[in-house]
Amino acid sequence: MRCPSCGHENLPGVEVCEQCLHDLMGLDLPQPREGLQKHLMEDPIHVLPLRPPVTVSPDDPVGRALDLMRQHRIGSVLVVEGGKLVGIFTERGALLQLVGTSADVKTLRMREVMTPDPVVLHEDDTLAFALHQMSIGEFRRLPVVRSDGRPVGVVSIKDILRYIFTLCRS
Amino acid sequence: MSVEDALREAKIRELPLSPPVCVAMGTQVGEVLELMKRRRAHCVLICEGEHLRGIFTERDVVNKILGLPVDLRAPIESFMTPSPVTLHPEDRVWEAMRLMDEGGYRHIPLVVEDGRVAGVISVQDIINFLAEHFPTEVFNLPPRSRQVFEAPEGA
Repeated sequence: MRCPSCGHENLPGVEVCEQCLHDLMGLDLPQPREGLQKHLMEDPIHVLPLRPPVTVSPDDPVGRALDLMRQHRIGSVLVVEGGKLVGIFTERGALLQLVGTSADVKTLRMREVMTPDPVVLHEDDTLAFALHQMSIGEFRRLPVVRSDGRPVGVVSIKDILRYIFTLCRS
Repeated sequence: MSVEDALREAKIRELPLSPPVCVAMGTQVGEVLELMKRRRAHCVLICEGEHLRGIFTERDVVNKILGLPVDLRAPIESFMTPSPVTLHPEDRVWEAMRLMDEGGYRHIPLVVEDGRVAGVISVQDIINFLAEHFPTEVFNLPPRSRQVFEAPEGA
């Protein structure tokens, strides 16, 4: 790794130049190349049409979440308490939690079926980061929160796919 | 190879797809739900013999069944989407992506020449494919592109 200040050839991965002590941190980070890879590594998720969050409270009955999902044609609702995101309820959760139980969706509370403390994104996270989270966690949608924990939207796998598709075609 | 070239060139059969969950026409919807839960399946294909007749997905579970006055002994064909759009395993991943984008599908069944079911490709499979075609280090970057660490990791 060549020091940009004095030109000394350092061992890869060192933090300061051995000759002039110039800070070398970050120099060996991979630099995005061209095209799609560059876009995914640099574009923040707010380039996507962020879907406004549809929310319920932890004490709402599950039936309300199901009604909202049908009405808005969405695959998840966010569970919010005191303005902060505390859980998520998805189609997947609905299948796994409700099928084969005799629970009444009019009385069963959200807090009993939601996925608490879900993985979240922040507005300036990159598309590559979102993609990676979705791939390793097998998520199809991720809530986006502000630094104070307030949810501002949901990013869906389809929105990312559409963005990639549009980029590749142009 | 760039990610976009990989996307355009790869064929669907090159992806590590999970085998589809299939049920016969006439299966009770309650049984199908139990099967989906047990196999953790996102969708099931409804077949007559080896031929595809319909698809039933997680979205249908929420839209048509849960919390609604439904007789769980009713046959699955009353709830499935009949004759879904299909692809061939030799088709390109790109084509699956295009169909998913245009039709809003998350699952596309795969059938071969004689109409036999050969599998199903999901939006998740495409995301996994994309993730794999990035160098690992790309995904180990900080979540925010301009994020700078004040001190070395672990310090």
